[in-house]
Amino acid sequence: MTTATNLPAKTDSPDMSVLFDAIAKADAGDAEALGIVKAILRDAPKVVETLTDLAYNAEAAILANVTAGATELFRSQARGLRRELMREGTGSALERMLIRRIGLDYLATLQAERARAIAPGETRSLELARFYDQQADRAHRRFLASVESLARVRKLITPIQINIADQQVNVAGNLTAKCANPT
Amino acid sequence: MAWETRPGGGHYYTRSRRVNGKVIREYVGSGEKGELAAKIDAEQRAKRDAERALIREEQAQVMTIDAELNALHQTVDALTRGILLANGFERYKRQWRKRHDDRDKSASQD
Repeated sequence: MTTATNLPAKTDSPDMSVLFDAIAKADAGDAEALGIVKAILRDAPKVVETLTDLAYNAEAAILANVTAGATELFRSQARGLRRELMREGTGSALERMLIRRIGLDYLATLQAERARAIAPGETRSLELARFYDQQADRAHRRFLASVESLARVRKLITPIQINIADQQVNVAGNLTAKCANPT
Repeated sequence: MAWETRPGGGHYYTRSRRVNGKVIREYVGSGEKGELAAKIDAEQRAKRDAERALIREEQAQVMTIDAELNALHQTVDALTRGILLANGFERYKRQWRKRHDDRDKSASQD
């Protein structure tokens, strides 16, 4: 049972460690913790925006050794992908957050592929080639996990359109999609 | 790899390598032959050193990227779980589904 004393104070920027702790407990079936999660998300709907710092740091690390020209190209490609994904969705905060992560993971795959590519005339040891291969594989795995996560969340939350005898019926996806594992 | 001077006055370039755990010293030669072998070995050594330095530098950068992206992934995964839980979903056998009480509520509203 959630009591007023257990709830964190109202704020635009909640203590993330309190939130994550409550999420972990709620995920394990703790009803009181679930109340705390709901309260934090209700009182601080912009909580997902706290990812800004993390996203900024990740992008800075990915593009640290990339030339200015390539940086602009990679950013533009990631922007294009994000725009396309946004167009297909409902525009919810959850989707925006997942799409942002996909954009960064895509940026990391572009960087890893650039590092893996061998310039004409360049020679490379087996050890270095293997190192770049492993980096690219990790980047691709992360990217695919992010895309999969978005797809499964959309399956859960997006209304599904069904056409029955030329009549459009919208069915809430969350009532029908029982099998998804977004995280 | 080194130049070796013998008591008799010979000045030889040698290479050492390990065979079955034992260090074998190979006498390459003296004079121009030795000089050439030493130059080739030095170039190869420099190339190997440069590549090792590059790998160390790249490893440091990749570790930073991995750390930042892993932190982002963990945060996004946790928030996704939180948002789904708060919206009436639950995980059952590692899969998400609408909670029973939430499904009943939705059904009674229809």
